[in-house]
Amino acid sequence: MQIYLYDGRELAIKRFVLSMTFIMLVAAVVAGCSKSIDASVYNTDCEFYLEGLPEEYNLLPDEIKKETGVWIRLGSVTSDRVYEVLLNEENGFRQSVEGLIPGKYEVNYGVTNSRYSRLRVKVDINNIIIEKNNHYEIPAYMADPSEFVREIMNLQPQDELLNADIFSRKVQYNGRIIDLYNIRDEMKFVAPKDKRLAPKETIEIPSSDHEGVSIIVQNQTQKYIEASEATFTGVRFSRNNNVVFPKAITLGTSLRDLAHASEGIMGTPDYCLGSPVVYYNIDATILVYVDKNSGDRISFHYESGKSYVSSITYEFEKYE
Amino acid sequence: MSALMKVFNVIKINLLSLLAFPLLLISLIAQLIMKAFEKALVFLGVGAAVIGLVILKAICKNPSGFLEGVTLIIVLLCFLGIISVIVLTVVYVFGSLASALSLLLITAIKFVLDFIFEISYRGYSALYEICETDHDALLGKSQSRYWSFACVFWHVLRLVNFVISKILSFILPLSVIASICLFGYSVFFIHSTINENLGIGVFTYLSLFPAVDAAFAVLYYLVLMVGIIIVILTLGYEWKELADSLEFGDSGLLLVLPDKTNGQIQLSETKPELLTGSSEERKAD
Repeated sequence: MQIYLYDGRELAIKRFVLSMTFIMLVAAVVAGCSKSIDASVYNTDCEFYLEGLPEEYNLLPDEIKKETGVWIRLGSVTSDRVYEVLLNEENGFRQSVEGLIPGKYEVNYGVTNSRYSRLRVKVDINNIIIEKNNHYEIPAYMADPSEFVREIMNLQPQDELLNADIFSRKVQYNGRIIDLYNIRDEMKFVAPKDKRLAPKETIEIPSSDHEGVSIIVQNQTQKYIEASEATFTGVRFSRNNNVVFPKAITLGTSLRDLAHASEGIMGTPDYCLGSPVVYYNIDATILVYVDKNSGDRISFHYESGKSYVSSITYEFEKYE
Repeated sequence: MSALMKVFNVIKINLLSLLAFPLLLISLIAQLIMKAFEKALVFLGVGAAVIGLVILKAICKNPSGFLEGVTLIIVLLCFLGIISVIVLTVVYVFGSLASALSLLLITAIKFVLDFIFEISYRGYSALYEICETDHDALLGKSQSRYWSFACVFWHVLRLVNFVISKILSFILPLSVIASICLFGYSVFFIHSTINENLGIGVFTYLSLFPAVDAAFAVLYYLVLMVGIIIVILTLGYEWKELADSLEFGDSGLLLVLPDKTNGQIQLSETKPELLTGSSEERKAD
C-alpha cells in the first residue's frame, strides 16, 4: 500500500524533521553530547610525583629522555572515569590534577620507553578513595635506584674505549671491555636444535643469559648444515643492554650525534638500507659503515618511529 | 522618527548584525565543506596510488617472492575454484555494500550540510533585510548620516560580506599560490632536516640508499605532494565555482545564485523576491 501525501504536508513533515535535526545538532555542538559535571565543587586535588630519581638519569642521551615518562592512571571502579598523568622531564616528574570526582579508584602505573631508559618505578598505592574537600598525593618511587645507577654508570665509556677505533672489535659491556670476536667466551649462545641452514643462510642466535645480545652465524659451506656448525660472523646488540662501542656510541645515540658529516662520531655512512625517512613510522633505516682494512662492517639500526640507535650489528670480514 | 526610536533602531541593527555574523559564516562553511566532499574521489585516488606504490615496491624489491605469492594464489584459485568463487562473491557483495554505504554516508552528510546552509542562509538573509530596511529608514532623505556611524556592526557585516566575496573570487589563484608554497616548504623542510641531522644535501643522502629505496622514497613523496596539490587545486576550483555563484545584490547582500550545472542551490529559485530585489523595490512593494 502506498501513502500519498499532499505536497504541502510532505514539505511540512520534512521541515519538521530537518528543524529537529538542526536543533539537536546545535544543542550537541553547544552543550556537548554527554553531560558535563562541574567537578571543581568537590574541591579535590591529587598530586603525582616521582621521588628519588638519581642524578645519573641526566647522563642518558637526550633523545631517550625525551621519550621517557612515568604514567599513573586512576581508574574508577564504578564507572569508565579515568584520570591519567605523564610525569617526565618536561614537567619535572610532578603533576597535579584538580577537581577529581569523589569515589573509589584503582591505581595503575608504568614507564614509557623503559626499554632504553632503564627506568623502573613502583607505586605503593593500589587503590584510593577520593573524598570531598581533600588533598591527595600519589608518589612513585624508583624500583631499584642502586641498580639504575649501576646500569647508567655502565653506559659511561672507559678511557681505553673512548680512544679505541670503532673497528677495533672492542666494546664495553656491563662495565667490562670485551673483544667481540671472543664474545662466546663471555656469554652463552645455544643454537636451536634441528635447525638446518641452507648454503649462505644466516641466522641470529640470542644469548641465553644476556638479554638483547645475539651472535650471527652463517652457513659458508655448499651443503645444508646444523645451525651449531655454522660460522660465527658477527654480533648484534639490541633492546636494553648497556653495550658501549668505541667513541661512546650506545643504544640511544641520536642520528645527528652519530652520522653528521662534520660533527658526528662516525660521519656520513658508506651506505644506507631501508627507508630514507627516519623517525616517522614508515620503515627501519640502517646506516652502514665498512672498514676497508679489516673488512668489518658495523650497522646502526634506527627502527621506525625512533630517531636514535635501537640496535647495532657488528660483522667480521665482510669485505664490501 | 523620534530620537528614542532612532536609538532603539541603532541598537536593533547592531544586535541583528551581530546575530547575522555566525549565520553568514555557518552558511559559507557549509557550502565550502559540501564542495570539498564532492572531491572525495581525489582522496581515494591518492590512497589507491599509495597502495599501488607499495605493491610495486614489493615486486621490485623481491620479484621472485612476489611472483611466488602470485603463483600460489593462481594455484589456489585453480584447485579451490568453488571456494574462490564464494570468496569473490563475498568480496563483491561486501564491496558493493561498502561502496553503497560510502555513497549513502556522503549523500547524508551533503544533505545535512545542505540543510544547515539553507537554514543559516535564510536566517542571515532575513536579518540582513531587516537591518538594511531599518538602516535606510534611520537615514531618511534629509536626516544626518551620524546615526549611520552608530551602526558599527552593520557596517562590519557589510565589510565581511565584501571581503568574503573578494577572497572567494581570488580563491583559484590563491590555491595555486598555496600549492606552490606548500611544495616549496616541503622541499625546504626535507633539505633543512637532512642538512641539520646529517650535514649533507638531499641528493647526497638519497645516493647512500639502494636505487629502488631512493626511487620509491621520491615516488611516495611525489604521490603525496601531487595528491595534496590536486586536492588544493580542485578545492580552489570548486570554491571558485561557488564564488561565481555568489554576487552582491543592489543592496549589497551576498547572493547565492542557482547552480548553473545542476541547480543544487535553490534559494534564489524558492525566494527570488528576497534575493534579487533591491531594498527600494521591496519597500515599494
